[in-house]
Formats: sequence, C-alpha cells, structure tokens
Amino acid sequence: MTFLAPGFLYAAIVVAVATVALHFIVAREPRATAFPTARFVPDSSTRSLVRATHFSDPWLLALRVLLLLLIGAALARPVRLPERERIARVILADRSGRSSDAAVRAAVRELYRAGDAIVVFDTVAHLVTSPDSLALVAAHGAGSLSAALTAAHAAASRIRAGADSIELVVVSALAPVEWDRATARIRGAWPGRARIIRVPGDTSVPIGNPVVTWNTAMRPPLAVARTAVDTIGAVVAGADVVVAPFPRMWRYPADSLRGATVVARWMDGEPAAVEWQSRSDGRCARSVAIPVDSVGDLVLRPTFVRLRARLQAACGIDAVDPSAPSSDALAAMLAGTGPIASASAFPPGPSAPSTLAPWLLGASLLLALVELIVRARSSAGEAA
Amino acid sequence: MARRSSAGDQSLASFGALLDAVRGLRWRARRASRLAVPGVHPSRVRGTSAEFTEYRPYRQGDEVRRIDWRLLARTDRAQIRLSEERAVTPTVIVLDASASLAFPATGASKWTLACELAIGLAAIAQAGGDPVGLTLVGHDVRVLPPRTRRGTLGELIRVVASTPPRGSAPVAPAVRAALRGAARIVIVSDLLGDGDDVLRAAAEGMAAGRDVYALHVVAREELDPPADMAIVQDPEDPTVRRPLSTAARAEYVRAFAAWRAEVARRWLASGAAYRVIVTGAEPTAHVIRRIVRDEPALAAAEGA
Repeated sequence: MTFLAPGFLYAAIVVAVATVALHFIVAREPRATAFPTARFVPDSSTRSLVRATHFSDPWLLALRVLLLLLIGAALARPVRLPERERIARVILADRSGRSSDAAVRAAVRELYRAGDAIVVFDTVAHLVTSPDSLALVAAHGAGSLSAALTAAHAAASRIRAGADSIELVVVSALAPVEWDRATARIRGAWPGRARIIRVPGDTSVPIGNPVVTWNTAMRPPLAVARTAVDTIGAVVAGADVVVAPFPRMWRYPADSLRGATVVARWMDGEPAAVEWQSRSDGRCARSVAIPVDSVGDLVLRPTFVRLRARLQAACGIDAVDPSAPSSDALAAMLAGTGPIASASAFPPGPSAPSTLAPWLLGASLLLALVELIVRARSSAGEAA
Repeated sequence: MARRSSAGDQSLASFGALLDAVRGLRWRARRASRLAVPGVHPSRVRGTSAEFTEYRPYRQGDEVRRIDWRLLARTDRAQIRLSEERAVTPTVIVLDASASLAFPATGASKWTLACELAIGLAAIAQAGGDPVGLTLVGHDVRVLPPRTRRGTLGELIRVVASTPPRGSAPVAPAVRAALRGAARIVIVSDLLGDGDDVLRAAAEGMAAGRDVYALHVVAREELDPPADMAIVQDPEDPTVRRPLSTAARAEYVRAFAAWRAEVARRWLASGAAYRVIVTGAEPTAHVIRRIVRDEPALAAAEGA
C-alpha cells in the first residue's frame, strides 16, 4: 500500500494535531466582578480563550480527528502496490507490415510476465495491457521505431514502481524503413541496454511495381465521395510535404483501409493515398485521392515532383531513407551497451486511479454527519 | 433573648459615633404639615395657641370660647383669634436594600453609607418628636410604621443591621405605600432599579403635599472603576456581563455621567430635595447636617 499524493495525508495529520491542540484551548467566560452600573459599559463579547487541562469532549475530538485523517487518506489516493519484481520489461512489439505478425505475437507471449508493459507500434505506438490485446491494434502500417521508443519511456514510468530494473525488449524484423533520423537520438535517451529479438519479415507485404490509380476526375479505388468538398493546405508522404490548397473530394472510410497501408496523409491526418495487395493477382495496388489542378505550377514544384515519384515508386522499398542503416546495424544501435536500466532512472508516471479513495470519501461523509449529530447533542447538553 | 439583645447593642454601638455627631440637629419640614397633631413643624392648620397670627370673623360652628371678647367689646364684631399651629411630620425612610447596594464588596460600600444616612436622619426626626418609620426594600420588603415611642430607633437599627442587601425588588410600590402614612419621605437608593417609577411615585406624593427627599447613593468606584476590573456583571441582572477595557472605560464614564445628570435634572424638576452622595467623599454626619439644613452639597460629594 502506498499513497499517490502523500502530501494530503501529511497535511491531514498536521490539521488533526492542530485540532487536538485546539481542543485544549476553549473559549470560556472569565470571572466577572459585580458592578452595579455595568449596564453603562459598552456591550461586547466577554468570552476569552483559556487553556483547558483536559479534553472537554473526547468523543467529538476522536470523530474530528478520524474525519480529518480519512479525508486526507482519500485525497492522498492510496493504491495497492504489486509485488516488486527484480526486472520488468518494456516490450516493443512491431506490428507494422514489415514484421511477421505471427512471429511477433509468439515472441511477445513468450516474453511477457505480469508487471511488464507492451508497446505495440506501427506508425504510431500504443500501450496494451496483455499479449491478448495485440490483435486489437491495427497492423500493416509503416513501422516507426522512434514512436515506439518514445512510448517505451512512458511505459517504463508507469511500471517503475513494480520493479528494480526495467529491460527494453524490441521484437521486430528491424526493416530499414522503420528507422528515421530521430531514432538514434531517442534510443540514446534510454538509460541502459536493450534486448533485440529479430523476427522474420512479413512476406505478404506487397512488393513490386504497383498499379497506381491517380485520376483526379474519377473516384479512386476504396474511396467514397465526401458529403461536402473542403480545402486542405498540405499533403504529407514520408519526408515529403507539399503545401498547396488541395480541394478534397474523396475520403477513405475506415472499413476500406483493412489490409491497406496509408502512404500519404493530409495535414489533418486523414489518408490521402493507400496501397494494398490485390487479392486477385497479388500485385500491389495504390489508390491516390490527391487532386491536381491542371492550371498553375503545382506539378512543377520540386516537392510535388518528389511526392509524385514516391507515390509512383515500387511497393515495399519506397519509404526507405537512403541514409538508413541496415537491419544488422540498426539492431546493434538499438541494443546499446551497459547494464539494464534502473527503474529509478525513469520519472514516476501517471498511476492507476485509487479504488480505495471513493470508499474513504464515503466514510468521511458518514463521519461528518455523525460529527454533526454529536456536536448538536453536545451543544444541547451545554445549553441545558 | 439575651443573644438578640446583645446583637442589638452591637448594632447600636456601630452607629454610636454617627448618632453622637447628629445629636442636637433639628430637621424642619420643607412644607407646612396638614396634620393637627402638635409638633415642632409649621402646620397649615390655624389653631388657638399663644402665637397669634390673625383674626377671622366668627362662623357658625366655631367654638364660642375662641371669640376675642375684648375685640367684640371694642368693635362690636365677633372675631375668632387665630394663631400659628405646630404639627408633627411623620417621616418614613425608604431604604433600598437591593443587591446593587452591596458595592464595593470591601471597604466603604453604598450599603454602609445608605444605612448611616437612614439611621442618622431617623434619629434627628425622632429627636424632633416626629414619628419615624422604615421601609426596607431588598429581597423582601420589611415595613416599620412611623412611631414616636422610645426604642423605635433601636428597632430601626436592628432591622437595618440584620438585613443584607440582596435581591432586586422594586422600590416604587414601597414609596407609594409609605406616602399614605407619612408627611415626609426619604428615599435612600442608588436609583439603578425602577428609578423612573420611583420618581413618578415621589411626584405623586409631592402633589399630595408630601415632603420628598431623594438621596442618590453612588460608590466612588462607580465613578472611577478600579483597573483590575476586567469583566463586570450587574449583580441584579447576571445577563449584563461586559468587558471593561480601556476604551470601554472611557465610554462608561461618559455614559454614567450623562445618566446621573439626567436623573438629577428630572428629580430636581419634580421639586424633590435631591442630592447625590458619594461614598467616602465626606463624613456621613456632615452630609446629614447639610441635608437637614437644606445646604447645597459639596461638588466632590456629588461626584462632579
């Protein structure tokens, strides 16, 4: 048992001690001298504070102290700590289209222990609670080790209370396309070595010359017409960004993206181009919903030329940065050197909500009502 | 019986010096008495004493022997010879024995001063041949009707000495009752109780020809409260309980002085012989001498 915000408990203890002290100080009427003409003295309160030698109402005092401590404990958010392990793991599970999904799942199931954290990543990273949750996360996006490593820090902060050390485990095929220029720097921020578990690549990923459908006059495959045409200011594909006022006429429903990979997005994150493996002939197909105005110099801009080249490039190798390291070099870079990271090296993260706090608050409310009744009876007794 | 007599002697002894100091004083009535009982005070009744005043024509019903026969022989007119009559003035001392008189608790209290005033004036009245009575208003009311017999003064002293000041009974009813059998009323009180009603009753008495003396007893400590009094409480009304701070003290002195001035103005306007008597300001015998001689009081004795 520990408290997520122990300051409230300390404050409650201080207030409770002050309450006990205040019970020794009572307001009493001091002794008066008979004075026949007292009526001519201006009227004001004659109560003064004196130090009592004993508690005037021990039950009321006990209730008040208990009430304060309960409120303090509730606000301090008590939580039960899991049993502390020597080593907990942050498992980065690659569910991008570059790693074998089955191999990743099997490896994660084998690695996972209670108290571990699993970060599933493709282009984005998600923290899941168990290996069974892997299937719930969409796969087949382009993997991003930078996103996964960033999420690993947050995951480590979350599980640090249950372990002495935290080991980073990367389960991935480590395709070069998953590397970017920030990966090495983000990896360097992890304080310790990592374990790399290489899994086979996904052979079902479409590779080869794609069938690109990019007809601005017709509805692209998998897309549907938007209810209202709007204008968006930019489109992003990998490292290429084209800034121009594009009228958006089509959109890709979420259902149509199953088994497809987003290769270009509008600046608000909505897919602008997707690719998938055709079921009929197994070839790579690519649908582009980026309208190009025939008037103007948009098509002549270098950024658009690069975008067009990226969208018309062969599937599978199109997103690889020319400066990306090989898979082996990437594995070596990720593994790093030194001991396993200490849990204390990570800042405390957001914790699970306290289940005891509502009960403690409820008990406080009940005690407050009891205190009210006891106080009323005590006052009535004094008046009598 | 022997014990009672001993207590009475002790009481008499405590007033002995005062009685010696006021011996020989005479207390003339401020108004002519309506009574015909012979005494030392001027009477409104014209009689047949040797002190001639005037003649009045004989009327049917007059005693024949009161006709001045010599004047009848000279003038052939029947005239009655009138003379100045002297009458007694029954005096009742209404002594306020409420709890507020028992202040201060030590030293010269208002109660001591009030008792000395009552006994001293009673002794002077009795020495002048006037019947003297006492109405003592404290926790209960004790009435000694006006009498001239020997031993009356001792009885008054015993009653006063055996009565501790306590309670808060109204004085006005006692004043009204006393007015029925007295020509002179002496009210000895601090006027902190039903002062307005007492004044009203006294005014009724004066309208009926009674002589009213109002002796307002004030303690020196009431004029200048001691510094060690932090919280004060009215002995007759425990709900009046107030702190006497430095600021409150100044306000108290101002309010009490204003009240005394207002009380004096109203009593004097009513025609009563009103005077304020402060404890310890002047020997009681001197105060009594000024009262019976109708001399103005010393400024210090009035708390000015």
